[in-house]
Amino acid sequence: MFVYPQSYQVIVIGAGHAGCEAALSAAKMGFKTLVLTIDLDHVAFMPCNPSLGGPAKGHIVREIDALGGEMGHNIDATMIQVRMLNTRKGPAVQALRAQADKKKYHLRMKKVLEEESNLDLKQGLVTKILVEEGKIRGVETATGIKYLGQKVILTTGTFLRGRIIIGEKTFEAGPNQQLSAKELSRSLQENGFTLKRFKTGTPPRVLGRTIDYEKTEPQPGHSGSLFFSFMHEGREGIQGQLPCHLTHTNPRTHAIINENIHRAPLFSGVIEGTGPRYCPSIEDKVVSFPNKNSHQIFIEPESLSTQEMYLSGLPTSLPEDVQFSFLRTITGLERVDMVRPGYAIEYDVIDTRQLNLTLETMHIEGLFTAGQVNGTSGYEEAGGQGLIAGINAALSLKGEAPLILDRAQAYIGVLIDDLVTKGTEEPYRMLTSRAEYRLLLRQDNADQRLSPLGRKIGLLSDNQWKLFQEKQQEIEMVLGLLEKIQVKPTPEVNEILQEKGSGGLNKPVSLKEIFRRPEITWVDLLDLEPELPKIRKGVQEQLETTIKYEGYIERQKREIEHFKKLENKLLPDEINYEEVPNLRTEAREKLKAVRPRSVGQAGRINGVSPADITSLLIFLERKKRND
Amino acid sequence: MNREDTIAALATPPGIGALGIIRVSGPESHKQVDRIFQNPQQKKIKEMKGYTAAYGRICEPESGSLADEVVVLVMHAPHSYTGENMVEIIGHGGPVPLQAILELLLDGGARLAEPGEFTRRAFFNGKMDLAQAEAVVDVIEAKTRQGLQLALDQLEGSLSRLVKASSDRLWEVLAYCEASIDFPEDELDGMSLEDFETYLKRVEGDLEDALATYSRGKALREGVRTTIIGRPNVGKSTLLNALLGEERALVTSVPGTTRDSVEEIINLDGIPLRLIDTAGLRETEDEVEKLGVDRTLKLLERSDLILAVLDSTTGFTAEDEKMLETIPPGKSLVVVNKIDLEEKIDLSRIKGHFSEDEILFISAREGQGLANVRAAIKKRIIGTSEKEGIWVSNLRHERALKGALKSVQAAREGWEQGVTMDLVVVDIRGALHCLGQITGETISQDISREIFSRFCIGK
Repeated sequence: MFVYPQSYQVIVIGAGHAGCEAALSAAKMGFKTLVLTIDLDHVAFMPCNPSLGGPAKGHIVREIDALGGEMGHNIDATMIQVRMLNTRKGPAVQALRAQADKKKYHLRMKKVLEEESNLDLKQGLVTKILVEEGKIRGVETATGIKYLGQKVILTTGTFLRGRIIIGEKTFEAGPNQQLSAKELSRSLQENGFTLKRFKTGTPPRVLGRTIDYEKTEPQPGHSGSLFFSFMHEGREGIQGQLPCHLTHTNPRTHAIINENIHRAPLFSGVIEGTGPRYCPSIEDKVVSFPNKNSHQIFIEPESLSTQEMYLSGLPTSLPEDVQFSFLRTITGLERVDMVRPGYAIEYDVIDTRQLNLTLETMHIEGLFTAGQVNGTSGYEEAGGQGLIAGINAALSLKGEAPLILDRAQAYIGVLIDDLVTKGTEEPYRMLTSRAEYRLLLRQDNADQRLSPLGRKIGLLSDNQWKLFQEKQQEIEMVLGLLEKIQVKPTPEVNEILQEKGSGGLNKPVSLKEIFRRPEITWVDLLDLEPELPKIRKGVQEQLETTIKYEGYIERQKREIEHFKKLENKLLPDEINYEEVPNLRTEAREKLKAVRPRSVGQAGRINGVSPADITSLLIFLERKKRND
Repeated sequence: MNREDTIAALATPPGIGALGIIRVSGPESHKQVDRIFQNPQQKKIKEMKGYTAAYGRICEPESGSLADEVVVLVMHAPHSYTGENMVEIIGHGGPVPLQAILELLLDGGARLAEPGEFTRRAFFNGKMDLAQAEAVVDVIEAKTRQGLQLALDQLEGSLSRLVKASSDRLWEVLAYCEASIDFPEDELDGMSLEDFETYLKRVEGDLEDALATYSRGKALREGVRTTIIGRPNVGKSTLLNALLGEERALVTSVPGTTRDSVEEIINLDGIPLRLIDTAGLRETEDEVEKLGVDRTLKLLERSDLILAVLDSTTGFTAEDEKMLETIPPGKSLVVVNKIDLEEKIDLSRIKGHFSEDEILFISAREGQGLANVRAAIKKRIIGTSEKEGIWVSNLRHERALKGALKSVQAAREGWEQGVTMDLVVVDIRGALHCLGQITGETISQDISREIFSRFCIGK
């Protein structure tokens, strides 16, 4: 066995969306990092939908950016369409969603990794993790090379014992028919990890020039300065956006699916893994919602450099001939040429209750896991975890306290807390409804929430930090002005207000009070007070939201204060739950398995009751007095 | 557990004793009591020294109406049982005034204490040793179990059905909102924004109905405040004695909240009746009597049931007339006494005000017609309406329902005024959180299941 002469501080297994963030953050924080990937031509590859963002997911991309990650930069540089969703449902849930040029997305990210001086990117299929006395030592590849490293981050996506299923055919493979990582699964099991089987799927790809777009409804992008990275705020919006197109399935489509349902691996017992409810296959939708005569399909371009189109809404593992037949029943797809069939993929995931909130495994010191191998789905969820794993591997090498984001700080915090505390029974997708403090976890204030942390750990670039500080100063300055400037109830003022559909004044009030009114926008304020300074859009948005939402935001802030009290009550590592009197057996077992970091986290474990928490608090207090 | 807020609870066993104590603990306890406490020397609780007492009245701060005359005992943190600012309010032992004081405190922002919470606070603030700490756990355990049993009992009743129906509707609204927020490009069948207001209004109505039963439910637990009213010599005392005598179930005799009326408690087929015999509503110039009349009016207002007694052997007097006009028809029964003697009364005068089954004929002296009176009382208390059987009798439940109602109203009003969905959802979640205190459902665990079972979602 050849031992690679260079020894690394951090080794990342996999170069998907989690792996790239993990590797870049560790390298940027000063540690010699190696990334091993099965196929260099699939770095930051999008094996499913060629898009990024949407509610909660878009929020995560903003959070990654605010901490100093790469995902926001990469999508901003490679997107071919962008939309702001939920504009009428309130600022807390507004979210960016972009179509990526998936080829460019991959190529750009690969180049960023290659250009990072502390980082080596290599092709290699890892077959084993090397562990000595409970500590990670490195990895071994299929071609017989041993790489030694102090920390290892496992970001293997859907590759672990990956199995692709198309109708009656199944074969061992990772996504897009790359190699499957079979042996690594065994190595993990040998080291004490519990694995489970998940399933996900992807729709067929079709040739763009064989689509009759006339019969579909175009879905253009939105104009304006819409970017994920805070660095790009105010920059001119992207030009030459490509539209998506909307069409629908119909009863004829459903009839073909129903006639062939006995050949669907999902129902014939071929598929064993648990699939996601939020991303059901078309056969699943047809069976579960028999009264729905039509399901929508978005036709999304995959890249400027290919005619291949992605059919969002149609994931399927039906036999290829069935896919071919039902596709041609769909309006606009009557002559369509299918170039890749849809497929389902089954893969091993780690039971995340074996992780700490740092994403380090409990069993093996120095081994971290992130991304789809942790049972999540989505590029953004993977990126967020990869970033945290990379940061914590680096902080641990530095001997510093880990970065743990809590549920009141970030969607990434909600995500990791859910995974580690509760585990997941299906591929986990982030939803805004999972966050208790949604009004505070907005995409417009991700920088306020996280950039100081990103700077403190040494990840946020000087440029981005400078921009952030300028923006905060501007917000404070303008907020001061709005509070100071009084508007008098003159006839002119009241006329302007009435024009905007707002009530007149009968006594002087501050501009801030006027801005509080739902119908008044920033531009309206300029009419009332032309002397107001020109400010960038990001500042406007944040001011508007914080002022208009103030009452609700204050309410959530008070809730957060209560939440933090139990969150800050840390449970000692050496706590022996057998010694805690009055715990119910179920609670005792769960606490022993999850090993929560704080009393707050303990309270979120399924099967731990408020009475158990009281017993725990009493135990802690007694211990404190004895010491 | 949250140790920043202020809690209040009855510290003496429920029921009737000579005195009752309400305990208030937490940073705002002095302020909370000051809000409702009036003292002849204008003393303020927060300015009083620790472990000193003051005499005064507890009044509803806006209307000024009196709840009870009390003595308050003041303690300053950390020198108190819990280690926090505390006040003990010592009032008359009857459940009615004590309950009234507690409700005033809760209206002012105090929270009803959890079982064992005072002791728990004492422990965490270092006011208790280890041996006592062991006992705390036992107490909490025991109380939880007891509480659970009570909760189960309650849940078997129709209250739970109503709460369930309301919370189902709110779940539907919430699932729709959350689905449309998290999946903005999916088609959501089954509900539309127009249904929104209808749903919320329906829930509002149901919660209001349930809350309206609170006084009835409370009455069942604590005694139905029953006032017997009528001119002198119409036979009020005879009626009282007849009801008492027949039941032979006199529990106790205590001074009532008005000094000159006597309160008796009888058990009428399991319904505790607190009978108060009072003076009539005579028009008078006499200052003393005027005060009596005022008191009677207040008493009528606070009664759950009024028995208005008429004398069949005399005609209608002006006083009878005034009485029939004054008593609220919804909670009153007219009892025509002395039917064994010559009948002179003109019943057509009554019939305009009351329906036939609200007018009862008896001879209290002969014991005639008493069974009908009992039946009518029972029917009036238990009711026969469609909401029959829904009794909100537990203060905790009442608070939860009130909280839910407030949130649902805020959600609906916000929605009508064009408040965005992300904010409306905060109030809907708030309402479900309150109802969850009755049903035990939590939002965080169940919302995604709700979304995916209702809507066909996903690309």
